[in-house]
Amino acid sequence: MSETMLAVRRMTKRFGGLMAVRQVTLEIPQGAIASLIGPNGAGKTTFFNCVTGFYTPEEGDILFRGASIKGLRADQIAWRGIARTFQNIRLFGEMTALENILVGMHPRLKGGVLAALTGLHGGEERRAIARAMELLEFVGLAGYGDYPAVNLSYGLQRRLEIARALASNPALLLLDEPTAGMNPGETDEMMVFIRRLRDELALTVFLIEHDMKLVMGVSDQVSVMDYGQKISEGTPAAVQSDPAVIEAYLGTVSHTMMEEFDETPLPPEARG
Amino acid sequence: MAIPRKPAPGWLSQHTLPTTFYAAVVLVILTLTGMFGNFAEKDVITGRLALHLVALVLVLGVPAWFVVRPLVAAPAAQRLLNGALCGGLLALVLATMVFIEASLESIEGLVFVFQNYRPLSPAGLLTYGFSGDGLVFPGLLLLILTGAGIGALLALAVRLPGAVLSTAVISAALLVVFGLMALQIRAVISLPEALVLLLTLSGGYGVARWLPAGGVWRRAAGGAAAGLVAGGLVLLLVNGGALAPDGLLAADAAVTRLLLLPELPRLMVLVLVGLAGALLTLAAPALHQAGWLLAGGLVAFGVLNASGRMNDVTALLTLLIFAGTLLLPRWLLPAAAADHAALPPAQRVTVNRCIWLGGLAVLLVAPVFLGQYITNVLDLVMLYIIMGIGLNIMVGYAGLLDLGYVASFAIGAYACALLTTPSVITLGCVDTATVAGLRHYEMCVGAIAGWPGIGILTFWQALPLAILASACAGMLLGIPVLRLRGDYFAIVTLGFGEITRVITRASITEPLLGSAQGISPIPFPVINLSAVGGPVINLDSAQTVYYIYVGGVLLAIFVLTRLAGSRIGRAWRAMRADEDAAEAMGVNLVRMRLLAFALSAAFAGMSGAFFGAQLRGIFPDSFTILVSINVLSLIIIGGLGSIPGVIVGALMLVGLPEALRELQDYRLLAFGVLLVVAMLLRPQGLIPPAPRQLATPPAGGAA
Repeated sequence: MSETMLAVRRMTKRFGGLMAVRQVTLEIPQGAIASLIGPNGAGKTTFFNCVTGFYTPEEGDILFRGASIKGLRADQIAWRGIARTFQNIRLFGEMTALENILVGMHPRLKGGVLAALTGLHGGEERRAIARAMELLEFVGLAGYGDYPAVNLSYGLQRRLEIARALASNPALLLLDEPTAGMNPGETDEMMVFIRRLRDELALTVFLIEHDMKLVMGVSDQVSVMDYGQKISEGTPAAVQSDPAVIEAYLGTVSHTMMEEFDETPLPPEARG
Repeated sequence: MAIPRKPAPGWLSQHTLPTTFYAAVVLVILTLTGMFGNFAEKDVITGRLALHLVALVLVLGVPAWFVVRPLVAAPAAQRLLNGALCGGLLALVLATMVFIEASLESIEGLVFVFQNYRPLSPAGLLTYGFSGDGLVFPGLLLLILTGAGIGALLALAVRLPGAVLSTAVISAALLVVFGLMALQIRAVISLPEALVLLLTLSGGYGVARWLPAGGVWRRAAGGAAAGLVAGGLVLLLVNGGALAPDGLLAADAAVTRLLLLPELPRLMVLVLVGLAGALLTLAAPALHQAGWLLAGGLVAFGVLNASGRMNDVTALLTLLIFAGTLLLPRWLLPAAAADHAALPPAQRVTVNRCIWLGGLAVLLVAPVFLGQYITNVLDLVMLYIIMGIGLNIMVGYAGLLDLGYVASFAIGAYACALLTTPSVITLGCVDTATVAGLRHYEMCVGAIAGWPGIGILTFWQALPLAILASACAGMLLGIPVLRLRGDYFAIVTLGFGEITRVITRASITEPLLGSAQGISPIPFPVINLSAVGGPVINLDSAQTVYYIYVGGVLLAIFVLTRLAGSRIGRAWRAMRADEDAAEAMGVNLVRMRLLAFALSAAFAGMSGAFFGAQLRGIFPDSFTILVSINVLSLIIIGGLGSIPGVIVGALMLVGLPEALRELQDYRLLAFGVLLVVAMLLRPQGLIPPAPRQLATPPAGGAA
């Protein structure tokens, strides 16, 4: 068996009296594509925010490649090799696509103030730009390098956000609803693309997703959350036939359907 | 269904009457402030045109322009009617006011309420000199006809091509500025010298432009040759001909500089000018225009110098020169732009660098020509450029709205002042008898006995310490606000600015900082080269301090350009765009914020040190919140995050009010109007930063 990339042990996150994540334990092996699904407000994004350091969980532990990352700041976690995208796209709008990727490389570059003033970082910069061009090509954005990110179409912005996350050479990539707002054709492309991420870049991918076709088609492992608790886990087929999952979803079918219309970017707290 | 319906097209435009009404209100207020009476004393063209007539044309013309502008596609009759109606009605309002004033027994009551009011009717200021019996007819009638005439004229002019209109407006504006400032600027350059420079430049330009098959190097050689020829001609003329001190074209000896140079340096200058002309044929469009405007400006200065004051002939010549330098290069521009675009990238870089070097050379010799007053203004502008670049790091890059930037400025100024004057820091504890009368020592007595002090430093030793002190203080101030965002951050920094000012005024710090009397005198900087056999240069005037400022501006520009294109600059901009996302990308927000605080404060500290050294004394009143507001406004007007924007913004916000000093209190009014207009027309700033083109050109241009 391959080693464990991410291990979450009995993690709990509270907001006042609300227990957004309750005693969740979860393991993702290296090289897997794992999905986290669940009805709205189940605590999926809160779970992501805990793993990436935006929130500090009250209880439990988070191990990344065997070492605890609980309590570290978001930037320290990024340095350790976890990259993420956001549910509502959060690119640096006025910067060009290429510059967005260069910001993503921040942890992998060394140049400080002195290097910038003396011009000693020239070689590093050139290599970084070359690498960023490769990444643009990889996500299908070749030729858009000098476009300000706001000027790109929605689908291209999604890809650019993934490219920016890839730029730090992460070991684990967290995707928060990568197909939100996409049509079926684009969703199929995204499915192929996520597989390529694992196969060509040897990444471990962990995603939150509502599109069941994508989840069932691409995942090695599916975890289901409801009301902050993990209610089921296993292969896609096993999860699909789990009575607990069916109950959770049947009770909230209308919610899942409304999801398609509900694109208002809420703050992560409200979203849970 | 309430669909807003456009009124049927009638002869009267829907904008005419409202615009006229608003303009009339403004006109009444301006008249009651005594604007026309005050401006009547300011001659633009001696004995011909005073400023009040310019103001009259503006207050009648600008509203009329806004009335006819939307009607540009309408038939001429409709435009004429609306324009003349607007101008005529406004003039009628003015005429009514003058009539009322004339029929008053005395205007004492009026002056009691509007203290600046000056009588208009007895002098016939707005009525072509008619007063008394002739006031109403023909005086006021003529005034109304003038208003209608201006409106009608603009209604016809609105169809003119944009180039002609802008040329006319800019030339007229420059003429007014020249006329108002004639006293300060008439010693800039003598006419023969200006003509020599213009002819040499045109010669270089002409040879390079019409040289058959001219590459960059052949053009440069041609330009230099033209300069050489010009130099030879000048040599002949000076040695025995018209340009000799007693010759036909002999110049005002007091302002003759170039022609009095020894032969070899003069020849070199002219060769360089010829070369500059040649390079101008390859310059980017904006630089091409700027080069010609500079040359035209020099000739205008020369004409003014030759006549001594702005009389009718000088005014006409000035107008023609500016119109010519604005219009003629337009005709030359397409070829220059095409040649510039056709240059191979490496050569384009070289040409651009040469042109920037030429610009720098012009900047360096400028104070020799510009005289005390204008150089002083330029010093102030550069002071604000340095601060603007520093604040840009905070606001334009890191996205931290700092309203207390003056704090760092004051800390730098006081630190440098303390280190270069006798104070407890520099001389330590001395017994009171020795220092009787010097209040800076009071604090020391009995406090820390035996402290020897560090000795009085020179400006150059104190400068880095002042910058360091300012940077450290900036970081210290930054620590408590690290977790604050947006509005909250701005309010706290606002408090810091005020705290600093209060501390400098407080009586408890008086022994050290001098309270309201500040610290003065501060010794001027001295460049002492006697150790290597050089001279000792005292930087004790506006013209010499100028070079310190130039150095500071170049340093600031260098640092910001280098940082902006680096990992640090990208991290700052990412932070400004989205803090959370930046943090998720591994940007350490705390470290980046502190770095921004420190660097931006360092620039403010540097300006503070320069400021104290230039004024030879610092006073708490120089460090009010207005400084923070001014710096912030100039970077917003110029375009956040853009260096050319800072320069233009500083020229507009600091240079312009100084240049408008002739307008007295109205300069703030004019200034405010300009700011509002600038922000309405270009909310993103005058020169917003261009996106960085980092991807290789084919990739960037392909999609």
